[in-house]
Amino acid sequence: MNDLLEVRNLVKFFPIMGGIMKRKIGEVKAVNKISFNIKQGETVGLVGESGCGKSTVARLILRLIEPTAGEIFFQKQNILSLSSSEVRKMRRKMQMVFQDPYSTLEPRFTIYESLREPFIIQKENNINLRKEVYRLLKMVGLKPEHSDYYPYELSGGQKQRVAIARAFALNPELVILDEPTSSLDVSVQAQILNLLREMQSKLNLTYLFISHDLSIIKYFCNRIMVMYLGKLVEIASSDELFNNYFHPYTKALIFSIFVPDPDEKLEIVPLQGDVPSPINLPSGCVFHTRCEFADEICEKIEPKLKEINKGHPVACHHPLENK
Amino acid sequence: MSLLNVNGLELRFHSLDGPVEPLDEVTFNLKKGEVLGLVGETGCGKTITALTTIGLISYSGGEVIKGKVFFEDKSLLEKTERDMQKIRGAKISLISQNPMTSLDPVYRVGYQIVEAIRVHNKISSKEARSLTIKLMRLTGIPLPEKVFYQYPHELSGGMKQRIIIAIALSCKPSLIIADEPTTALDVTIQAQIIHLFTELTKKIQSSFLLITHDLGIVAQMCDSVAIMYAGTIVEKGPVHQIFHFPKHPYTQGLLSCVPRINMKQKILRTIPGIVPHPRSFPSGCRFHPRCEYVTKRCLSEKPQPVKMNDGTLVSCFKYYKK
Repeated sequence: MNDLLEVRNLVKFFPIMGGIMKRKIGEVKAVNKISFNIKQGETVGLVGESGCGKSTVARLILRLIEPTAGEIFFQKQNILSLSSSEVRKMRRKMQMVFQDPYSTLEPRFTIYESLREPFIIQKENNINLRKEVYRLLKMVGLKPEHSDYYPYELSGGQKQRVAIARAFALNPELVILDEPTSSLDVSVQAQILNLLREMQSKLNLTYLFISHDLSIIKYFCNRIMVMYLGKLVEIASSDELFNNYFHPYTKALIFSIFVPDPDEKLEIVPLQGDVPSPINLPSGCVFHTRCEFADEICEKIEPKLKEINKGHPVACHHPLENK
Repeated sequence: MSLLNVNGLELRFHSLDGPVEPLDEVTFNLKKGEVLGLVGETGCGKTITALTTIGLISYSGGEVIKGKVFFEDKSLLEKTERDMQKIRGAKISLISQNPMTSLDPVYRVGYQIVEAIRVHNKISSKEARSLTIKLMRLTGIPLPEKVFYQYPHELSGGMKQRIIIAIALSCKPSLIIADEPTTALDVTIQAQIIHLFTELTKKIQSSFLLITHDLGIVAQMCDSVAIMYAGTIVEKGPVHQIFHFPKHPYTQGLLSCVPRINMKQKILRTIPGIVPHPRSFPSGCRFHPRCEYVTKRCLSEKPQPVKMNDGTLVSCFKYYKK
């Protein structure tokens, strides 16, 4: 199958301005040279803790922010060379569902006005807007009556359904889901996950699913990328990652999952310490400050992503022996 | 022996659109040394129940209209504010959800622990300081002598939560209420804090009331569970019974709609509909609009808790003897 999206050596540093002269005094190294690809029809999960650069990756792919360096190819086209009007055209094929449905809908617009927006922006003039909006609402399990509601009249789950309808309005090819369920209650979360899965099989979509919750990612995705402090540390198919992990950070994430079963008490061996600041990244392997296997090499030399098993690259000097 | 007994609790909040009464006869018992999980979704009344037991509900604009709260066999609701101040922090302490906002930003964190100790105990500041360092070490804070002099903004979220836990433990309370203690933290930090809690429950003689929406944490930590839905406790019992033989349709739904890592099926079971707003709770059984077993009786009549053979209490007509 073809690569729908290819990211090469993507870098994003945010400058920190300060002092009386408001000069650059440092950099937040949010995304630090990452490369990956997503195939047509795949569901890829990107997992990591807050501040590791997950959302920055999403925003870079959509060109909502400009990268410091690197290349992004969407359907073989380098999207970083596009002009702003071309970017707008490209965005109809790439959409995003954000984390917080409470802030992504314009409070002064009715749902109809919000859902009509993509068609107006993309200059779809020859369609019956009302009819299209009703079709979208029906697709995500809402009723035509909801089109005259304002966002405050809807529950969190309903708002997220509207946000999903808006992202899917123009039949995109790639949808980036940035923590789409983390602000929802568990009973509603299941509804939204089912809806997303149904839409994928109906519309033949490719998903990039961003989350900090490994059990949702495992359930939802074919392939998982684990990110730590702006770096990808391990990429593997979901089953492979859980049965055959090599990176100590992946292990720590897997062992942080609390299984809802009182008989399966995990021997939790929590990671020591906190995530270091992305302003002063540790030297060498960024994980060495919290890693129990770290030695001198880890402090000095940065590990590169290397394929250990087929289709399973890991960035670690001392990959875990398997059980 | 019962440490905390909440009996038929109902509250009233005054809002611009008239009074709201979110709770419906909330009743539960917490034994000495027990870890009880109070589980439910947003807006089901978990936090206000906790605030009532610690006597802070009037500061949140609520008043108790019915029911009783007994702590160590004394009624808490009849106590004066002055008496409550002696209990809060000393006998019952609270660990709140957001460590970022529960520390005072202008005081050094060590001083905030010392303050909690010296309010309730007549000891010198020197003694309080050494006790504080001991507590900080107990909660896993590295270099406590240094962290003592730091301000909250200099610490990470996980460290701040450890300081809050140290404050909560400072007077050896017999009851610790933890209200979503890890929701604001990252997964690996959450694992650290839950690990710390499980260690602490073994070491100290306190009882825990753990409020959470995370079933995984409940399964790992609690001895017994009370499931709350829309202001009512629908099911309560030992943790094994609740997780392996859930009886109330809501509990069953809640347990089956969480994705699990060893799950094979592609479609999750869901609970249809949405959590109702406290202003418009349904009549009869409050779960009936979302329940697949709904009968005529559920629409108008409120189910009373039924004691099952395995020790759980279920509020559902399904389990009434014919």
